[in-house]
Amino acid sequence: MSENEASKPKVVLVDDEKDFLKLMENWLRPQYEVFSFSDPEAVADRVRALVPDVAILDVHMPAESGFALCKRLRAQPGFETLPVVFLTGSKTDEDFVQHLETGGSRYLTKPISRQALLDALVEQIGPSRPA
Amino acid sequence: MAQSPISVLLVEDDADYAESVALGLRRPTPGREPFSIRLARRLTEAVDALAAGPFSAILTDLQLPDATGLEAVRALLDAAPQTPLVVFTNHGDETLALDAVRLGAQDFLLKTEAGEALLQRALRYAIARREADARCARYESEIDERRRVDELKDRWLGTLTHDLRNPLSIIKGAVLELDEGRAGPLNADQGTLVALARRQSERVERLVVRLLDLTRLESGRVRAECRAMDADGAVRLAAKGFERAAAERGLTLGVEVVPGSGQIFADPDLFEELVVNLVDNALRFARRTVTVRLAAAAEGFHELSVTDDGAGIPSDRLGLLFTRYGQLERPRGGGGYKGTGLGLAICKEIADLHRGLIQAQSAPGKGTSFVVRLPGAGAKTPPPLASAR
Repeated sequence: MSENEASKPKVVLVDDEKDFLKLMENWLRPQYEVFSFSDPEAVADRVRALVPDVAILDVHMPAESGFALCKRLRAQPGFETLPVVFLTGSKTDEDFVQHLETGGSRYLTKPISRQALLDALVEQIGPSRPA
Repeated sequence: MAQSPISVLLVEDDADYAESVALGLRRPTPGREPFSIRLARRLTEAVDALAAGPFSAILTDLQLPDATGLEAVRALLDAAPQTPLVVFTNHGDETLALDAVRLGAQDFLLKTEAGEALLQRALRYAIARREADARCARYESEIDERRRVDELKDRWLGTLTHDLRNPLSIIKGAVLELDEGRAGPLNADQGTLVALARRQSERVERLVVRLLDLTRLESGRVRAECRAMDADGAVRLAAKGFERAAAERGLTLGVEVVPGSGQIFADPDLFEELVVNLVDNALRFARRTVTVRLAAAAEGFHELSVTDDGAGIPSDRLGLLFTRYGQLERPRGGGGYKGTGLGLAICKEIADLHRGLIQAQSAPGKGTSFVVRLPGAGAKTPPPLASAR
């Protein structure tokens, strides 16, 4: 890992749609160090060692919802205040309310553009130094 | 050719009267099916006969040794619910006879008046009416079934469109990465191919978004958040967005605002969507000019019209214009139509949400004018539009 890479903010991405994960990786890689997970089960264990700056969680995943995953993450010491961005394909009020109850920092709906995702990250953790 | 007989179950305990009825029915009528009679003297005998085989009709007295009045009617209708029933009645029993009809009998006959012609006619009509009732019931259940299937199809289309959107956005996102050079430089051929993939994925996306918009509007879940707004400014802004598209096609896009027609009572987002769809539609069909006009109308209403000088629409095609099926009747190919065909259906839904009116005025060779009448802040109900030319 280059020094440059090490100084980039770390983003954890969780989405069961692997192609969308790849696309988001492409969007974010120039400015962030990206860790992608298509299986929410694996995230909680791995994430402790990563010490991410922000997590982007898909809401509707078959194995576990983004909300449930967020609760598990928040239960770990050191993750109480981690900025969590939720991504959802549905625009229902219930999702929005749950995002507030779960302590989400930002709520975004799919489909989302590259710029909208980058803007949301800047809003959460400030601008990243260009690579 | 001999016609198959109309089989009648005659339920009557008075042997002489039964005989005279049977005689009257058996007398042949030229060109009509003959009657065949089976006599039952008691209700129990009649019920047994019905259990043994079907009859074309039942003719019954209301006074039987083992059942009287409506009791007999109920028992016969229970035993053969599909078989038309005609009841005999005596003078003074008309109320009872009407009750029998209410229960499901097809008709009643006064014994004193039931000559052979009347008897035959009453039975034939009873059978025809029963068949018509059955057909009606069949059509009704068919209509219900089709309506249900229609609703299912609408829901299926909504789900399908929704499901298309995410993979499509991933495809478009990936193509954008390539087209905007973020995945490295492309050579000229690669650039051309990527650009066409981008244009076409954007086209499919427009279609999907419009379909979702329409499904959402049609679902009744959308509420118009109306407030007093400046229509003049909104129309000019929307038209400005089309300046480049109009210029590229060599078209003149003009906006005329009649002074005093500015303030309407509408949902700003929906109003913008309405104007955008109408102008977009007009630009596709215009030869040289598209004119957007805003004017005050009667009774506090405001009228927005978008007029093109295109080929016009024949009157027989105006009917489906504001439905999602309107595009099905549009000639494809030659004219180079590349719209989604959903814009006008969306406009209709938006006009309805505002308790407004939308109408097309057109004739072949004369261009088309879409006129929308929307309420001003003080208006109550929309005045009628002039009928289509």
